[in-house]
Amino acid sequence: MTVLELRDVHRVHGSGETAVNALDGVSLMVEPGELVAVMGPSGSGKSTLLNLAGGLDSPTSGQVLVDGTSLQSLSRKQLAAWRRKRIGYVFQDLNLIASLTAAENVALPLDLDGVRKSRRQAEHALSEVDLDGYADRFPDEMSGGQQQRVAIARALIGERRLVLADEPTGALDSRTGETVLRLLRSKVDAGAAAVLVTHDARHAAWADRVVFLRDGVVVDVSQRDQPEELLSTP
Amino acid sequence: MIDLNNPLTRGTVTVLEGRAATSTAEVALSRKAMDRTGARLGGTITTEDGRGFTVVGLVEEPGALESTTVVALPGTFPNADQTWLVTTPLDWAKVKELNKLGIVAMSRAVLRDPPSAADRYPQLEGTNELRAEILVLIAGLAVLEMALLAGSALAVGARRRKRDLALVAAVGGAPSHVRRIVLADGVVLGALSALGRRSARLTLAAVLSRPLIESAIEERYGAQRFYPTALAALALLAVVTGLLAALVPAWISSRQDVVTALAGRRGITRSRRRWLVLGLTLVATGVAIGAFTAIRMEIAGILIALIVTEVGLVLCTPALLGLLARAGRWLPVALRIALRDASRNRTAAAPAISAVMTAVIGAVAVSVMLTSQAEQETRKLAGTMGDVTVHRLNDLGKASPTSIPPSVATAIRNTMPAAEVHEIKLLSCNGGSCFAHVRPPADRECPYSRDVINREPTKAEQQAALQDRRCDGVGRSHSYFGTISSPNGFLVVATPDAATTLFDLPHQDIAPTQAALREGKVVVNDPNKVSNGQLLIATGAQATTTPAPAHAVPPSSAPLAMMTEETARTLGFGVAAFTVFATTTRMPTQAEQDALTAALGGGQYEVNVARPTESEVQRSLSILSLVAGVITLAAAALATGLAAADGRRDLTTLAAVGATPGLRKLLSLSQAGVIAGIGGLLGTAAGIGSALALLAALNVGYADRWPQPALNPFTVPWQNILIPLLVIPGVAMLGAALFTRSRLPIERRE
Repeated sequence: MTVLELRDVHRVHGSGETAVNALDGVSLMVEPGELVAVMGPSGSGKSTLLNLAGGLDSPTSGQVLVDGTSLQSLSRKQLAAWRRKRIGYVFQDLNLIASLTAAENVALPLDLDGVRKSRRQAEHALSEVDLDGYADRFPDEMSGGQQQRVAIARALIGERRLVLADEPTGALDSRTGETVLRLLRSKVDAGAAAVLVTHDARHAAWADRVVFLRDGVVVDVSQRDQPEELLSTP
Repeated sequence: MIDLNNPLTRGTVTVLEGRAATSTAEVALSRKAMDRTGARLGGTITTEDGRGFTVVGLVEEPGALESTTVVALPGTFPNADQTWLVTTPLDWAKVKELNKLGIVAMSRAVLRDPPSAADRYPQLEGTNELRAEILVLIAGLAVLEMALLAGSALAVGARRRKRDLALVAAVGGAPSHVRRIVLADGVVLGALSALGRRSARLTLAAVLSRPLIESAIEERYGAQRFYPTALAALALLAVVTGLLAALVPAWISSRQDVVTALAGRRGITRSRRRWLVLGLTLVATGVAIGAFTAIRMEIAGILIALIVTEVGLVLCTPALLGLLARAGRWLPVALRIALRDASRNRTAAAPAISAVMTAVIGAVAVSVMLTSQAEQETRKLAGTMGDVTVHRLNDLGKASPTSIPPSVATAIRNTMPAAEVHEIKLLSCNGGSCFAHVRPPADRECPYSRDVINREPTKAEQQAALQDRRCDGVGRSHSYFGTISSPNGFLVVATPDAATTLFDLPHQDIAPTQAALREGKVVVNDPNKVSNGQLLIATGAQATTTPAPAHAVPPSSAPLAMMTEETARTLGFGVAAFTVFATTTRMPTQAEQDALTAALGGGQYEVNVARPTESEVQRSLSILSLVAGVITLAAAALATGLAAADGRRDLTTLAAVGATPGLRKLLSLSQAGVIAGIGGLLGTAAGIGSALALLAALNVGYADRWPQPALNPFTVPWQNILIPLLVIPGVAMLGAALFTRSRLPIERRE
């Protein structure tokens, strides 16, 4: 079953003369085991696409479906529950909650859902991203790469099948960034679906498919190993 | 009684409606007197002696707005106390001359131009100086409170401008530049608040507050004056307070890691051990000063101790927050984040908590002290609050052989929520009531009591009495039946069925006690006064003793003995009427008391209801709770503001991981709760502790006195304390939740 589907999605920010078409009729499908990279210049609508896919924002028109369910049909509370159970986010700026430990950050979606023994699952998730022994450290006591791995562990804890990563390597050095992408790739290979927003063609090369956005429109879609060609396209 | 038509009386009582009385058949009433009597202009009132008066005016006493006042012409009621209003200016020398004649004089000339301290009575020396010291210390406490609140606000501001300040450093600003910027914030805040406060005060004083303040203090303003020098001093104080409040945020901002701040990271906050050590040292010093000065009853010293202790606690608060944050792992997510955020942002959270704590300490400590003192007063009472006594005026001071008529008891039952009604009589000696009591047997009697030495004990005898166990509790005064206060106990004559109430007897003691009374025994509630089945009844100024068969019951609130009329006569005493005493099922209302007075009529009887003198205490407690509440709410609002300034990214993350919209409210609620709750809890604990220490010290101070006053009981007014402990934090939390949008923000990264 398709994990994420965008059907002719439009998103207009503002109104009147100041209206901006952030997305203009975008359609996209992401299947299980597929990593889709979204590329494009600044202001092309990449983050808007991710926010819509995660139910953090609503389209002006069109439909966003996750696991076959239209997100517009859900209330704010239901959307929140949907994010807790099915969607994982990874941000560029290492969005961990500073006052929670690594394990608490990872367990956060489960805690919010009232799951007991979330700590044990969080420790297991941390171990999967090679962070054994870091459970009780606060974000400020970890490096950027370690923090991003905590964010990935949080994005994948439980039974989530969709990971939305917004330039997850933007704040990392190239070596650490590569480690993070390898981790993401391995999770996708294990059955998850992921959308990766990136500016970097080398990072997009980890994807099965690259969607190129410009001015809110999908201008091209390439299969693996083609992003560098796309970037050179005028 | 005053002639309001005489120009000399202008200003003493104001006629609001109608006119002043012009004949002895007319009166003018205050609004409260009208409410109480139900009379209106043109109506009539009747005094206890049956005289009727026409109400011709509504008046107000500018110095006592809430008084129940009836103004009649001089001479309307004979035998009243007299006061003269004189036109002759009285200087200090004339006042002293009048004083020598036993006349109290209040001189406008002396009040306007008071004599020098050296020229005043030596007994009053230093009184004003002490008051000035206390005022300075209270002002110091107020500055500390304001500096804590403003410090919290400035810390929030510095946090918001963290990146700007880092940019200043990045372009070459020295730490001193950064410090000056934040200190300038403090000066601006102080100056703005001074300006705002001054204009607000002038407006409020002129327009709004006057009626409110007049109503609160129950007095009319004599005049409204503005002192430019005082206003300038207050403005300067506000600026200095702002500057003081900015010291810590300025110091911390100047030391921040520039790279961390520019990157938008928050860095790690650690408490400095030296501040904790200094704080603990100050707390210990404050407690020691407090105990020392409380024993010596030095109010200024107690206040200094309070300030030192509070500063110490303020310094300890960051470390305490760090400690509490460690316990966060067992808390729900919202509370955990709030607690740890407060711990991370100690620069702002600690002063906010300290401000709450400081306010609550004061409110709780004073409320415990006031309640304990009120309880101490209650314990002096032989009966219980709400008891009613009716005396026939002629019976006091001379023996009246006849009983009080049964109609009095009937009137009590008809008008009061009476439970039991008993007539109480006294022994009579030599044509008058003898206020008899029971003396202990000679071998158990305190050799320094008035009964033994028939005079006041000397200092040496007092010191000796303190060492003598037989003198414990001797000479402690108790109040009996609304009118009599006795240091020796009291002996009454009544029917056996009154014993249950008078001695507050347990069920199993009722039958034996009543039987003993019928058998002709005297019942006393102190087994120590019974020897070989006998006790000694003391009568007259020389406390002459008469032995009588005795029965002892367990001690109750005040030393008391009783016998029946038959026993009194058997022992050779006469019996005199004294009072009708009633216990009640609840505190009678003033209207019920008035109804009883009216029902008795004729001015022959005096009605007393044992009422707690709590109204003033309660009002003080309410004001203290209100002040503590306002400070707590302000501190909680600042803390929530800090969290809002700092937590936007966290809210985005929470939205992304699926937090419900309500979690944002829950988070705000928890943040306000952490500040108000911790501050309230610490303040309550410290306030109760301070009051306990103070009461204990006062009691230790009593140990040197004889006759020893009743020790201060340690009574915690839980209802009042629950306000700062639960209600105010609850209101702060609800307010924070109410003013927080539930929608979680989305950061756009386009």
